[in-house]
Amino acid sequence: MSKNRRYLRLAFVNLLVTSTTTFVAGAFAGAVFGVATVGAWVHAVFGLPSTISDGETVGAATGFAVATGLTVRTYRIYRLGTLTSAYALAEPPKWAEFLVMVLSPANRGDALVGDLNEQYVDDCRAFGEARAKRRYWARTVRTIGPLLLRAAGKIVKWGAVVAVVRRFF
Amino acid sequence: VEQLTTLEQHLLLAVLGLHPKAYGVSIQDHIKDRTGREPSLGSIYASLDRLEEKGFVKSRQGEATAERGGKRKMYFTITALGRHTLHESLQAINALSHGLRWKGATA
Repeated sequence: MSKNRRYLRLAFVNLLVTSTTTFVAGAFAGAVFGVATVGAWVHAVFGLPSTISDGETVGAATGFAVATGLTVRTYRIYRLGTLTSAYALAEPPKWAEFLVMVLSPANRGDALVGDLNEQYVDDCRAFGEARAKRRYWARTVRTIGPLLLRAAGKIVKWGAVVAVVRRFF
Repeated sequence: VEQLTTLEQHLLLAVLGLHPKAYGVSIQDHIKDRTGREPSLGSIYASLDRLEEKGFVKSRQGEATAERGGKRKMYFTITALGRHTLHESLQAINALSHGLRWKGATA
């Protein structure tokens, strides 16, 4: 066997072992620690995002996805001129979150978006990311109507109060 | 006595039934399981906002979980005034439906 072939085989075995190890690690993290902690956990085990190799990232992400049913998107980034890999959990649509947050009554925005996010994670598990996103938008549209009516009602009410006060001054 | 809409009755009953763990999603599930209707989270929060202004419910911040993207829950509890108003409202429905002859009363 030539020297190059041997190196190639070693590299392949190394990638296989790394991916398998991290697959099991990712699955374990997903099953035991859940959604949010996995990022911190993988970082703690493998180091900072820029130090995680492609094989490790894909392995951990796939294992996590199998254990939780959640899509874990892997992507490549250039940091300080070096090609590294990173990962991100499926996130709810930001624009939908923003709309709900803006239109919610005072101090209710966080709770309302949190409720939508909670349902989104359940939907991701049940239907997959794409359908979960569509359902998130559908819920957002249904949510915005009553919030707008409530806001308009408040404006009309305060407008009437201001009009009455003005009559006396 | 303050008049309550059907949704407000449902919300107060859900808040009472889920005490002390009544928040947006649990209230929505509770109403859906028992009535088959699924009010949107927007209408739930808008109505609860109105009920809180009238002094029928109180809200408090809860815990933030990972699945909620770090956003805190908001728990609702019914007040004595809310309980009294709900009771009166349900009594009115009972009084209206008492003694009705359902058979043969349709057009």
